[in-house]
Amino acid sequence: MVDDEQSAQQDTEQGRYVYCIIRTDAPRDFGPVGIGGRGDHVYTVHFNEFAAVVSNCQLIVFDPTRENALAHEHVNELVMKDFTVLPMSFGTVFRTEDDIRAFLKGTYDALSDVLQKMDGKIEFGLKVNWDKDQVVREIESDSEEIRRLKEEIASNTTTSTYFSRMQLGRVVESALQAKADAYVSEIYEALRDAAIASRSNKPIGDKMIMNAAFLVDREKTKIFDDQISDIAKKYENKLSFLYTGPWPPYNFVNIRLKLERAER
Amino acid sequence: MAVERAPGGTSLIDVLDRILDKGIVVDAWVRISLVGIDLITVEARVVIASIDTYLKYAEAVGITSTVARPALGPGEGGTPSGSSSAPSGAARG
Repeated sequence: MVDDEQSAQQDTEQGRYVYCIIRTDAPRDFGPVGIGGRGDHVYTVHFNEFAAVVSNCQLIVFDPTRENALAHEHVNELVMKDFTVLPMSFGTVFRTEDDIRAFLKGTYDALSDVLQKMDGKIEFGLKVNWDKDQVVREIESDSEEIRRLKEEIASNTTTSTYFSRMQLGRVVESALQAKADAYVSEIYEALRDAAIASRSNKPIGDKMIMNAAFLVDREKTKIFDDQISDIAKKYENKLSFLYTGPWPPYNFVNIRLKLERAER
Repeated sequence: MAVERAPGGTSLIDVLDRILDKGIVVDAWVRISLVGIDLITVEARVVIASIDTYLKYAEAVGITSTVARPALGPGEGGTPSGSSSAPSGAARG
């Protein structure tokens, strides 16, 4: 009985989920949109001019389920409408508000620096795909060497074509890479004026040639939109674009913290 | 055909791609067991690589997509690529 009560008490132990850090000294309630689906209010915990945007939650390790991940993102987007945010990565739970204040105090210098650099800036995502099969066909019809290799393979009925086929594969692969590189360069070049910074992530899957994030001045959103549209028009029928945002500047804020209890 | 910008929260993949290990990352186990107060920051930096920097880098190394090739670590033999600069510290069987 006693054990049951104790574990029941542990199950309901409360923590504070942290979504992001902003600069404000005015307490604020963002509504009952906290993670965990209990309708917890999202509010601010302050230290000097900084505030952590938090909600009450169970003191557990949160799984990045669809619901939880979107709740985290939704709060960030909500806050982002009025503030420059430094996003926390998913699943950051502190035990108490005092811990959060201590966290803000301990990282004060870093937060000042980063918040100042991110002031008024937001992130956009751009993924670019191509139709690889179509590009391969183009390459094949353009390249003398590839045509020759294919004929050689097709007409050779007496000896092994193993090395010719290997050679063909290599030539096609490097032509593909060169073509992808050229596209990606042109796209970066076209966006360099409107974006402050960019980060190139690893493309996902076979068809993606570019998976990038751009840091953009909030004021220049329209310009950036227009430039993306221009690029999309220019490469119509060749490339497809997945353009997303605004995002909190996840790809441009990189703060890694280990917390340690000070030795006494 | 213009490209429409989709709001952040529409694609779960895009969300997960960002929130899981980017932004402010706090060591998972310590933060939950934390009762005391004093904290130590280990690494804090902003990544602002300008597009100019990127393009210069790309020109310098002759690439434009930054698919980093994993470095050959010592003891991680078995890659039969004809690398001329084999790591001197590679473990021998």
